[in-house]
Amino acid sequence: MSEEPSDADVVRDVLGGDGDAYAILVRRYKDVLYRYAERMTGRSDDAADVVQQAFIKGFRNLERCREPERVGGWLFRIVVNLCKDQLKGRSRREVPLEAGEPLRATRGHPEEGAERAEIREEIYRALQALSDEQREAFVLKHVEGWSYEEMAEKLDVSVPALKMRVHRAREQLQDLLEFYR
Amino acid sequence: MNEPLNRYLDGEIELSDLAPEQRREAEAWDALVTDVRQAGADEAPVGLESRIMASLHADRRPSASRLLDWWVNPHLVRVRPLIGLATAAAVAALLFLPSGDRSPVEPTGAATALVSEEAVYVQFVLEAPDASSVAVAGDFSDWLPATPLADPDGDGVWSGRVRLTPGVHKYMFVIDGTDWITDPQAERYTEDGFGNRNAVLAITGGAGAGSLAP
Repeated sequence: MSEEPSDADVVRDVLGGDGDAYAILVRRYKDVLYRYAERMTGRSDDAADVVQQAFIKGFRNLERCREPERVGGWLFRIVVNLCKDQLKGRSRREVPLEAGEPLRATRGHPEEGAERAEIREEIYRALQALSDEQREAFVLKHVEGWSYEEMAEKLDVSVPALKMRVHRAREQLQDLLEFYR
Repeated sequence: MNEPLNRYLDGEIELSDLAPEQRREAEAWDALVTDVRQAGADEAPVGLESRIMASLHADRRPSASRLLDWWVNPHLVRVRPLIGLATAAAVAALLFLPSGDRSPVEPTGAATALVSEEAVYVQFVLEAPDASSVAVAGDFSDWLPATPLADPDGDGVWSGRVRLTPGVHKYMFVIDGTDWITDPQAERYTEDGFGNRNAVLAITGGAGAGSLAP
């Protein structure tokens, strides 16, 4: 059985003219990039567009990736910036929930179906009520399970600053999603 | 939120390190985090990978090669500003014919330019009678099929207009959201290195120009 090529091998092949090899990187990183983009943008179609743009941008600029063995982190930073652009361009009025407004969800273990979908919707709205920086830090910490050190490296933000963002995000989510208190 | 709870959620201490009342709060937080994690998709949508790779097929050459194309292959169409859409439309069919040939052509698949003082509009046309939808994607849209073409009379000829900046542009048509088609009527093409071709469209602005010829 052939061994999966490393990221550095794939980058070398793509830059050498084997464009199809790029599909390996797409397959390897699309899910994690999409998860992040979906939580950040709050919209599945926007997230898919962001991830597609990120991979296209990554392909065009692959020769600028200075550490091919860490191309996943490099692609992630492209997604981070594209999400920021996406959110900047979106009117704040589109976010229906004002910060501090409690959500209507009720505590419990809802059955799958409409009630579950409602909980999911309210969690989404609560996430969107966070600042972009808080949401980014919270998603990476708790959805992706990254360490603060990994986050600091990829976002170029200090560990104490990231901890502060996550802690504040938790406080705000606790206020918004009152049934978890 | 108290400090021990944050330390627990940060993974610095264990649940058993918390006081009993803090454990209840910690468990509530664990439930919230689990719900947040489960609230969204775990995986990218089906088809995203193929969509990405299909769009890359249209843009798969190293930048050095693309730069070379700019100098070697461009087909420049110099047009002058036109007043009024009707006049522009009448001229549009002529723009991509060789110099000296000004006879009208059938719009069976092509890109033609309509130029005003403010912008360059390119009319994309594709005959695709079996298509349910047709869009155009190019380097001007980051290869996203962002501009749908229309076939209001149902005759299978799809068309739409895109505002472009002067320069050399590459594009393809996307049928039914999945099939990437090279414009059969394009004046120029570039190989993408994978056996496919991008159509090439080159436009210069009308500043000082008095001719429709390349």
